[in-house]
Amino acid sequence: MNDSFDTGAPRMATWGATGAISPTIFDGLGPARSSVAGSNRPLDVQQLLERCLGSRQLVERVLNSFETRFEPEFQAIGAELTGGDPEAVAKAAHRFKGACANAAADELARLVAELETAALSEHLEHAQSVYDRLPEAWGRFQEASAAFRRDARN
Amino acid sequence: MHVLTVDDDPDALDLLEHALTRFGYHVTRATNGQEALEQVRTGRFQLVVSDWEMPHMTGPELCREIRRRGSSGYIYFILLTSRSGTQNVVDGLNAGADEFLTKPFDPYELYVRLRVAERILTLESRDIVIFSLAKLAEARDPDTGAHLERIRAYCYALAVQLSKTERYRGTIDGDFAQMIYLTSPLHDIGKVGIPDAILLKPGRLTAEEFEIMKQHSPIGAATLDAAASAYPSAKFLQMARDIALTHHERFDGGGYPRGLRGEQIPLCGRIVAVADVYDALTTRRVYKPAYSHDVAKSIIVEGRGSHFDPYMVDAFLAIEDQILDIKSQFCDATEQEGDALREWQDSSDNGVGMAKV
Ligand SMILES: [Fe+2]
Repeated sequence: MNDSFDTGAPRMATWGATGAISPTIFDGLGPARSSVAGSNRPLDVQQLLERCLGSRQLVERVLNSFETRFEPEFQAIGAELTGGDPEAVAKAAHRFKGACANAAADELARLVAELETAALSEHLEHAQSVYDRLPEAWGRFQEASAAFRRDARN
Repeated sequence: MHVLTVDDDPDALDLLEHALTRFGYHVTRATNGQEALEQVRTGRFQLVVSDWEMPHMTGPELCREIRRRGSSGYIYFILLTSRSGTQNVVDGLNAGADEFLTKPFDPYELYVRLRVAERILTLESRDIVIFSLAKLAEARDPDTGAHLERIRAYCYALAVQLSKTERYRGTIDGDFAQMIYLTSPLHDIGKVGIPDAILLKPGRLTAEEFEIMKQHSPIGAATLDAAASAYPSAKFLQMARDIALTHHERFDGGGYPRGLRGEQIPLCGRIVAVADVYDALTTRRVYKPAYSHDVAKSIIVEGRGSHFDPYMVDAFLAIEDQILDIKSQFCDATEQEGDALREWQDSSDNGVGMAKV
């Protein structure tokens, strides 16, 4: 018995929940889930698959969508850097960071986070240098993404 | 259950929707706070999962607005955040958020959080329904004031005390104490079936009237029994039924409706019997003034082994201070102390049973 239950006011009881949803949804995804955005991989396929609950189709859809987003988001951050307003740079970076993390593009997500932090501390020069490294990381992401698609077809 | 997801990023919404649908939820999407508020107004949603950073209206702003507007039922609000640090959590809590989830979400974590949310929402609805039912019965009996609040607090304190004793250590645990706290207010639910002429009669009841009054126990039990049969997994309904049926039984077999004796009377019924009589004695009713604690205590002690289970009386005595605290905490505004002892002695010819406890 819990010795502490008698010390305070009654709390909500813990019984009587509604019908259980089967947690077998998670079967086959492995007990040790990769930590979210925990790697520095161009693309953490495992993490994305887990978030898609094993649906390769959804993974492909998310990747396709993300691939259409890089160019406009990259341009937008570039325009803000040219404008020289650190807050605007940080805001644009923050939005893109979310998209990167969503697609498990960990390397890009980390770089964009660094860019955002630099902008927030008004180090726009550093932000620019991080920005210049984005296309290379983008190239690595595309390679990884293509490899996933090849594997998916085989 | 319907879940409203709010995010300005369509890809994030896709992922969330996919997971939630697989978990068995019906998902509606909103891409900004304004859209979300319109959806919330439909009254379909008890559960909102929202992004933190969004243009025009942030997640915490949305949450604050939902709380400000109020709704028919509680809306459980989960904030998705890529942020970290205590201040942000505090901001979210201040806005009225219930839970946080790191973005991008871990599906297992999402699943667990949603189960907690559902459980809390279910418990909240259940608790409200139970107490409302009890209040409904009480509403017809204007003399009883904060009776229900006191009864459940007395019962909870008695259960906790009993759980510390050798005899009941293995029988009463935290769940039992919680359950009696929850269900004891339903003890007189059967009064909804008693005619006003009897229920509201000032002064004492005739023998015939008292026979009708006694029916509140089986009426309440039958009502709760029907609910318990329909929902066999809802253990609280079984306890509520036992309490409604047996709270007027006496330890010596002289009570009603069945004349059960000793441990034939369910434990919950024996606990409520002490709490109910003590409360009836110490509060003013249409047919009697309020007796002092000492008088009520002496009556309870006198009933040890006859009216009441001796273990219940011992528990009552062991927590006398707590009983007094509860009594003063939920004191009725109209309560008056009178020449209680004399009143009690005058009425004792008819026995306490005639009083409308
Ligand atoms: Fe009663």
